[in-house]
Amino acid sequence: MRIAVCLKQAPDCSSVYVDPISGEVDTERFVQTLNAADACALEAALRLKEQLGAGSVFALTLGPGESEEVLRVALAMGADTIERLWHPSAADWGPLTIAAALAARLRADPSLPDLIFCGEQSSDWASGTVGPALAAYLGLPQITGVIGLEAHQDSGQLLLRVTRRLERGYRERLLARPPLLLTVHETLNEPRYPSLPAHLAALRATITVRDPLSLPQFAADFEAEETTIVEVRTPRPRPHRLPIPDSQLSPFERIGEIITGGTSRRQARLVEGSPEELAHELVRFLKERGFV
Amino acid sequence: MHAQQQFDVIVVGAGPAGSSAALVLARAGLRVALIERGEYPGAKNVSGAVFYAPGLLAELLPTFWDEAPFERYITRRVLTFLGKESAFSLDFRTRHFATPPYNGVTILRPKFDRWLASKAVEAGALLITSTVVDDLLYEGERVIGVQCRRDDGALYAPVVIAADGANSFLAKKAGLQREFSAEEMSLGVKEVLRLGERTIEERFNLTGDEGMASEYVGEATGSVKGGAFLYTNRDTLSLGVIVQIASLAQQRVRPYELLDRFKQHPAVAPLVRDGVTLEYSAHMIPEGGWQLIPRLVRAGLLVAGDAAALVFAAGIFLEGMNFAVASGLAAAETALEAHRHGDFSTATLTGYRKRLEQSFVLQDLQRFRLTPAFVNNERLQNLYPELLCQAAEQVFRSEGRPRKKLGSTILATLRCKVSLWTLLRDGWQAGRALFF
Repeated sequence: MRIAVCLKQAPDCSSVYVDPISGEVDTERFVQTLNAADACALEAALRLKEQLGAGSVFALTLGPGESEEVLRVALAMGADTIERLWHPSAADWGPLTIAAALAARLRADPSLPDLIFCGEQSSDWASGTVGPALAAYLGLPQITGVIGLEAHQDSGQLLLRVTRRLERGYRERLLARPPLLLTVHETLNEPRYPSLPAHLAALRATITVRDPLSLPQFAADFEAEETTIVEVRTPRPRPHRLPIPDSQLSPFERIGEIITGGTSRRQARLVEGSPEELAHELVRFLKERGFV
Repeated sequence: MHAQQQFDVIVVGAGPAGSSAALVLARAGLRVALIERGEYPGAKNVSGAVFYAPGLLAELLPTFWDEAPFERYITRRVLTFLGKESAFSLDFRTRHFATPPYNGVTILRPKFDRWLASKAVEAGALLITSTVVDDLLYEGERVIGVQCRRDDGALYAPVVIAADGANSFLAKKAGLQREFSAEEMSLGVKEVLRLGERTIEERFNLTGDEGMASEYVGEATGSVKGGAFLYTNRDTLSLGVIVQIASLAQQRVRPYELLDRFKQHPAVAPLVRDGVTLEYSAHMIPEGGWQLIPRLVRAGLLVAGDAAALVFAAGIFLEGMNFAVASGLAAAETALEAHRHGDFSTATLTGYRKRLEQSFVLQDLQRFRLTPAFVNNERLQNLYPELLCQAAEQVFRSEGRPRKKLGSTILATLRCKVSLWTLLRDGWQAGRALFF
C-alpha cells in the first residue's frame, strides 16, 4: 500500500491578528506550522500503514524553504519519504495550479499511489480546493471532509468505511476502495508527538527539492484558470426576512410568530428518477422559488 | 546510546541566556543542543521588555545593529510616583543614549528571542523546539545529560547549561536552588497595546527611533507591593504591573485587576487611550536579589539567567536580559574551558562563578543587595508616593493667600502622616540601598 500525503505550512490561527478596521493581517506576528487538518491527514495515513503492517507514506509539500519545517514534522512522525516542490513563481499560484503541480509530481512516479490524503482546508484561505482539484487532475474518486475512517480487509482487499461531514451537522457514511483521494477534517484524530530520536533525525535530514516546472506532466496543466479574488471581508450575519404576522391573530400569537420568525420546520422532498428527470425537477423547483 | 543523542553541550532554554551560550559554543565548533519547550524560541518568554546594554550582543554579532529586531532605543527615562489623583515624575532624557551602542532598546521577546536563537542555529547549534526537559541524568554525582518529555527522551553531554527560566526545575532538581518564598518572587502581568507609530511619537515626545522607558510606584498597584512600567515599541506600547506574590496573596487581589486599575489612573489613562490590546501575558520574576542566587555550579551543570535568579530589580534599575546574556556567555566560556581540559568537575566549572564575580553580574547584585528589601518597604510602596504628590500639590497651590516658605509647607505635609524619626530612618535605608 503506497500512501501519499499532501502537506501545507499555514499560519497557526492563534497567532493571527486581523485589524478590525482595515481587515489587514499583521504578518509580523505569524507563526507558521503544519496546517492542523494536514497533520490529521498525515496521522491517518500513518495509522493505516501501521494497521496494515506494510506500505509506505510519502509526504509532499509545495512551498518556500521555511516550509521544510512541515516535512521535518512529517518525517519525525513517521513518513518514509519526503519531498518539497518549489519554484519562485509558485508564490503567486492559486489552488488549481498548485493541485496541477502536485498531480504532475505524483504522476512522475511509475504508478500513482493507492491512497492520497490531504487536509480538507488550510487555516489561511480555507478554499478547500487543492484536494478535490488534485483528484480531478489524477482522475481519482474522492471523499471530502472525512471525520471517521476505519480500514477492513475484505477478501484480501482493503475496504474503507468513511464518515463524511456535511453541512448543518449531517453525516454521510461511505464504503470505498483504493485508489482514492481523501480530504481530512481536523477533528479526525489526534496527531502523535514524535519520540526524541525521531525528532532529532528529522531535524538533521536533508530534504529533496524539485522544481515543478521541470516535471513533464506539468506544462499541460500549468495554464489553469484560477478563481479571481474580488474582495475579502469579515462575514456579517445575513439578515433574515420575517413575514409580517397576520393582524387577525391575538397579540400573544403575533409575538410568538415574530420570535420564531414565522418559520415552519424545514421540509425535505425526496425525488427519484433518471438524471435528466432530476435535473428538470431541480430547475423547476428553483424557478418555482424564484431563484432562477 | 545512539551517537545522535550525544552532544558536547546541552543548553536548556532558548532565551537570551541559552541562545547566547549556544551561539558561542557552536562557533567554537562544539556539538550543541539548544532545547526549547515552546513551539519556537520566544513563544513562552515574557519581559517588560527593555534590553539594557545591548552592546554585549553587538560585540558578538557584528551585524547586530542592522539585523536585530529591536523596536526603539531608550533616550528618555521616567520615574513616576503615583498618588490617588496625582503624579510626580522625574523625567530624564539625553541624546547621549541615541547612538550605538545604545544604552537600552525595547524589544518584543517573541521576535527577538527567535532571531537570537536563529543566530545560534546559523553558527551550528541544533535547536530542538516543542520539547520539555523533565530531569537531569546523573552518573554518580556528575550530571551527564537531560531527560526530555518525549519517548526515548535521553540526551547526553558532559556539560549541561540550565537556562530554563524563572522557576528553574533543573536547578531545584540538582539541589542547587532551594524552594522560593513568596516574598522573593514577583508576578509580572503585561499587555501589548497597538497605538500606531505617529501616535506614540506625538504622545511621548519622541522622534524617529527614540523610545521611552517609564516606571511607576505607589498607587499604580494600590496597596499591593510592586510597581508598574510603560515602554514604547515601534507602533505598540508594552505596559504592565509587577507585584510581589506574597503581598498579592495577602491582599487577595487579582493581578489583571491591578493592570486595569493602572491603566485607568488619571496619569496613565491619557497615555494608553484608544490602544488595542494585542497580547496579554504573565510571568514570574525572581526579584529576591542576592540572597536568591542559587549555587551556580555542580559537576556537569551550570545555571544561567533567570534560572540563577540573575535579575537586577533594584528600585530604579529593572534589568534582567543583559544579566542573562552575560551569564550565558560566561557559562559558555567555562564549558569551552572544561572541554579544552576534558575536565567537567565542580572545581573546573567553578570558573563560571569567578567569571560572574569579575563582571557586573554578581558585583551589581552584591553591591545593591539591600535594595530589594528597601523597595518593598511598606511606606515606600504606599505612603511616600502619595505624600510626595500632596507636598507638590501644597507647593504649587495658589489660593490668593500668603504662602509659607517651601520647607515648612513640605514638612507640614509629611509630618501629618509620618514621624520625623521614621522619615530619617527610611532616608538612611534609602541611602544604604542606593547611594553609599
